[in-house]
Amino acid sequence: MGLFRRPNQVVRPRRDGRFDIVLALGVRAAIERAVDEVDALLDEPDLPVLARLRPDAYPDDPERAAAWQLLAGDELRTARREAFATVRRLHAASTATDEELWTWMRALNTLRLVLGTALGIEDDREERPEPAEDDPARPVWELYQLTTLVQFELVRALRD
Amino acid sequence: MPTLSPVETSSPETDEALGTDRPWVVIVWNDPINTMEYVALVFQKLFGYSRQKAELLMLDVHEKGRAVVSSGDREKAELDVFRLHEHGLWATMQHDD
Repeated sequence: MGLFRRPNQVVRPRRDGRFDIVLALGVRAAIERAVDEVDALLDEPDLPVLARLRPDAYPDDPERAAAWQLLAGDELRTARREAFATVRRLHAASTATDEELWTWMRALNTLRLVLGTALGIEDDREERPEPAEDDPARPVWELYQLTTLVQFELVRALRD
Repeated sequence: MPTLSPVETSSPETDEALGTDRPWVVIVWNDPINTMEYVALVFQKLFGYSRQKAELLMLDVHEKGRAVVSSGDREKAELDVFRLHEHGLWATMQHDD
């Protein structure tokens, strides 16, 4: 599958402190589809696949935990939607600032949490076999790999 | 659109009302999806830790299953937890015992 190649470069640092966006167009399209799908899911916050997006803040205190979900839940959803909007904008742009890279990276992380949960990833010490080409989980797995690689490139750009 | 005047809500929180001021600690738990590199970078950004300190903290989370990443009063802890959740990390808060 041509889509799933290592995206050698996602961004390239410029002299003026900004970054050129050099992400392949096919990768942008694939990620954008995932962004749209997850964005639509955010309206149903109780979906099991979204569980990792809103952990309990107070595991020992159900009352406060409930109040937290009520207050923070909406704010988190708004923040995630804004981050998705930034990704759509950057996918059509040629440069990005440091802050925009952060938002982009955060949005990719939201995708990874949802895709990883959908794949049933529960243990980071366990080597997971790659799903076969005809496995229905294959497209989700490919997207998970892709978002992981793109996110790692953004981590490197922001860190190094 | 008219500006709404702030609504007075007086509902003193129990622990503050009792005058207990034990600090809160913010804990980040290991999870199988967030990458180690990302988690360390988030610690650097949110808490201003050096790369070395952030990576040691991240390794603590990874190896021991959890680590205390910040502490303070309840308001600060809640803000830290919110920002960690915003970045997709599994964070909780509790009283420092």
